[in-house]
Amino acid sequence: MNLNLYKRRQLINRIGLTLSLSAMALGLFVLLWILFVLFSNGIAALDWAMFTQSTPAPGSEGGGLANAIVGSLMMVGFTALVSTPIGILAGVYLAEYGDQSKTASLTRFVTDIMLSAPSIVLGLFVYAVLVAQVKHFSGWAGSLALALIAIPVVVRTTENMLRLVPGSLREAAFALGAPRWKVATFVTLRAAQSGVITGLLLALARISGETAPLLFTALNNQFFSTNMNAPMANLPVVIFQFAMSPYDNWVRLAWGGALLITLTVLVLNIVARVFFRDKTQH
Amino acid sequence: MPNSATPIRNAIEIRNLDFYYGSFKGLKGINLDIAEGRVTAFIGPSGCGKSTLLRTLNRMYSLYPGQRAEGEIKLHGQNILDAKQDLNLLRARVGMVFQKPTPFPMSIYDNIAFGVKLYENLSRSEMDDRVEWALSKAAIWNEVKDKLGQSGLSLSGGQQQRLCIARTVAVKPSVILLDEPTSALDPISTAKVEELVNELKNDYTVAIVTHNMQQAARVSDYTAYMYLGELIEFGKTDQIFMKPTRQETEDYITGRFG
Amino acid sequence: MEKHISSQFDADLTGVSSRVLELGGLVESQTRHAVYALAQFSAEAADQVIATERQVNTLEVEIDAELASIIARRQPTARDLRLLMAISKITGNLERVGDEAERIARMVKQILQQGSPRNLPSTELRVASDLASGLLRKSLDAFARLDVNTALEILKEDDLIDAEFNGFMRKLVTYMMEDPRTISASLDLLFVAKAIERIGDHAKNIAEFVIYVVKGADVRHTALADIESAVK
Repeated sequence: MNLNLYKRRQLINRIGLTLSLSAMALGLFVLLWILFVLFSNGIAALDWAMFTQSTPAPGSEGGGLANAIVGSLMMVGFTALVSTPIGILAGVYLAEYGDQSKTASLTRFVTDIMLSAPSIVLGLFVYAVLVAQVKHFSGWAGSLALALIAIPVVVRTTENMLRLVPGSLREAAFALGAPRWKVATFVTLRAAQSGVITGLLLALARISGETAPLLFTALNNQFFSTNMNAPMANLPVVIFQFAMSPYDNWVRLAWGGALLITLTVLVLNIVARVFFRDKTQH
Repeated sequence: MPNSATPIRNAIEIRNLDFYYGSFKGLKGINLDIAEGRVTAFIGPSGCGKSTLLRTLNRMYSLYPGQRAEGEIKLHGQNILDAKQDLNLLRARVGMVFQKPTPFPMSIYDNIAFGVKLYENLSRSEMDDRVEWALSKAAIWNEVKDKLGQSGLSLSGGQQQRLCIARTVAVKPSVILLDEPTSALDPISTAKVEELVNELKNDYTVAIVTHNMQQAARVSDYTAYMYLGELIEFGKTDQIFMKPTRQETEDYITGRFG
Repeated sequence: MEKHISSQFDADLTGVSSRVLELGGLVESQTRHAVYALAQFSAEAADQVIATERQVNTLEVEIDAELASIIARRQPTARDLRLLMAISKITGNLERVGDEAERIARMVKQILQQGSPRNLPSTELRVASDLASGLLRKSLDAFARLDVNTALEILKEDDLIDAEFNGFMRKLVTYMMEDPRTISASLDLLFVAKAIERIGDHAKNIAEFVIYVVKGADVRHTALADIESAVK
C-alpha cells in the first residue's frame, strides 16, 4: 500500500473541502448581508400605513404602497392565470406527445431562447405590439410582458418534472387500455404534480421582481386604481422611481417595498421547497 | 382445478413472429400457442427475447417508434398485429403486471377504479364491490380494507405488487401477462404472488416471464425456453424439467449453461 | 405442521404420501393372505397374493415418477426433502415386502404340490409370521402419523422376529436330521421363514426412515442404544 499516494489524496481532499466551504461561506455571507441591509433599512417602513395608503406625492410625508401592492398582485395574478395552463399544457405536450417530432424540437428551441432573453427586450416587444397600437399603457400589457417571461420557465420545469416520472408508470397506465391524454393527465402529471407546482411558484417568484418589462407596459400610477386597462402601479417600478429620488420619504418607502418583494420571493421559495420535499419521499 | 380431460383451447396463437428494434432482429420466427386457462412460462438467459415476446402480446411496443413486429398473433382468432387493431381495447383485454411495482399516485381505491372507469360505467356501490372483489382476488383485501383512502405508495413492496395485480384483474381481462413480477420482492412476498398466480389460472389465461427457472417449474403448466430470440423448446412443464428433448434446454435447466 | 404458502405443494405432498399408504395397504393385505395361506395351506389365498403383485409393481413405478416430478418442480428442502427421500426408500421396501409375500405364496403352492404338508412344523412359524404382519402394519401407522415413539418400538420388536427365526431354524434342522425324506419340503419351509424374517427387516427399515424424516438423523446400521440417544 502506497502511503504517499494516500497522503497526497488526503491533502487534495482537504484543500478541495476548504475551498468549497469557503465559497459557500462567502455566498452565505453575501446573502445574509443583503438581507441585513434590506431589513435594517426597510423595517422602518413596514407599518400599517404601507398597506393601506397609496404612494404619496413628491415631497409629502406619510403614504404607503397600497396601490403598488394591489397593482403587482393583480398583474402577477393575471399572469399566473394565463401562464399556468399554457405552460403546463406545452410542457405536457413536449414530454408526453412530441418527443421526436419537429414541432417539439422547435418549441423547445424557442422556449430556451425566450428563457435567456433579456426581460427588457420582452418589455419593448410588448410595447411595440400592444402599447403603441392602443396608444396607452395598461396593466394588461404589463401582465403580458410578465407572462412572456413566466411561460418558458413553466414549460421547461413542467417538461423536466414530467420526464422524471419513470416510464414504467406510464406503461402501467397504458397497459390498462388508457388513452394517452388520460395517462398524461391522471397519472404522469399527477405523479409530477409537486414538481410542477414548484416550477410555477418559482416562476411567479421570478416575475414578482421584474422591473424592466413593466417600465414600458404598465408604467406606473400614483393613485389607487384597479383598472387594468390603464397604467397600473406596481412595486418594482415604484421602488425604481422612489429609490433614486431626493425625497427621504420616498426612499424609505422604496426600502420597504424592496423588503416586501424580498420577503415574498423568500416565502414562495420556502413553500415550494417544503411542498416539494414532502412528495418525493416514497 | 381444470379437468385434464377437457379439450384445451388456445387463447393466443403466435405464427412466424419476427420483431425488430430498429434493424436488430429481437425475435426470429416464433411459433407458439398459449393455452386458455393455463399458466405458460417463458424462461431463458438475459437477452433471449422473452420480455420482448410478452410485450408483443399487448402491443406495448407500439408506444415506441422504431420497434415493430411482423407475423401473426391471434387473440381468440383475431390478429392483433393488424394495423386496424384498436390498441386501447386490446390492452383492456390483455392486462400486464410489470417487474417494478407501479402504484398510481392515488388512493388505493382510485388505483383500482382508474382502469375500471375507462370502459365501464359503474355506480358507486357497484364500483365498491368491484374494488373489493379485485383486492380479494389479489389476496390483499384484508390488509387494506380499512385504508382504501390512503395512497397506494404507502404500502410495502410486496403489497404494492399485489395492488398492481388487483388493478389488472379489476378490468376483467381475458389474458394476464406477468413480466418478472417477483424479481423485486422478498421470498415470502414472492411465494404469496406465486400462490396468487395458481389461483388466477382458474379464471384467466396467464403468461409469465421469469429469469428464475425454479419459479417457472413451480408455477406453470407449460414452459417455453428461449435463446437469442428463438424458441428452442416448448412443452408441458413436467416434461421440460424432467426430460427435455433439446440438449440446449437441458443444459440451461441443469445449470451447465455457457 | 404449518402449511406451505403454496397450497399446490401441500396437495402434491399429501397426494404422494397417500399413494404410499395405498401401496402399504396393498402390501399389507398381501402379507396377511400369505400368512393365512401358510397357516391353512390354502391355494386360493396364495393365488390372491400372486395376483396382487402386478398392481404393487405398477404403483411403485407411478410413485417414483411422481416423486421425481415433485422434486423437479418444487426444489424441496429440509423436512420436505427428507420426507420425499424417505418415501422413495419406503416405496422400495414395500415393494420388496410384496416380493417376499409372493415368494411365501409360491412356496406354499410348491409344498402343497409335493404333498403331506401337515407333517411339517409350520405351526411354529405362526408366531413369527403374525409378528411380522403386525410389525408391518405398525410401521405404516408410524409413517402415516410420523410418530417417532412407535418407530422406536418397532426397532425393538424386530429383534424378537430374528430370535424366532433362529429358533425355528434349529427346530427344522432337528426335524431334517430325524427324517431325511422331509429335507426337500423343510428347505422350502426354511425359505418361507427367511421371507418372513425379511418382512420384519423391511418394517424396521420403514421405522428408521420415519425417524429420519422427523429427527433428521439417519439411524441405519446403528445400535439401538445409540439410536435412542440420537432421538432424544
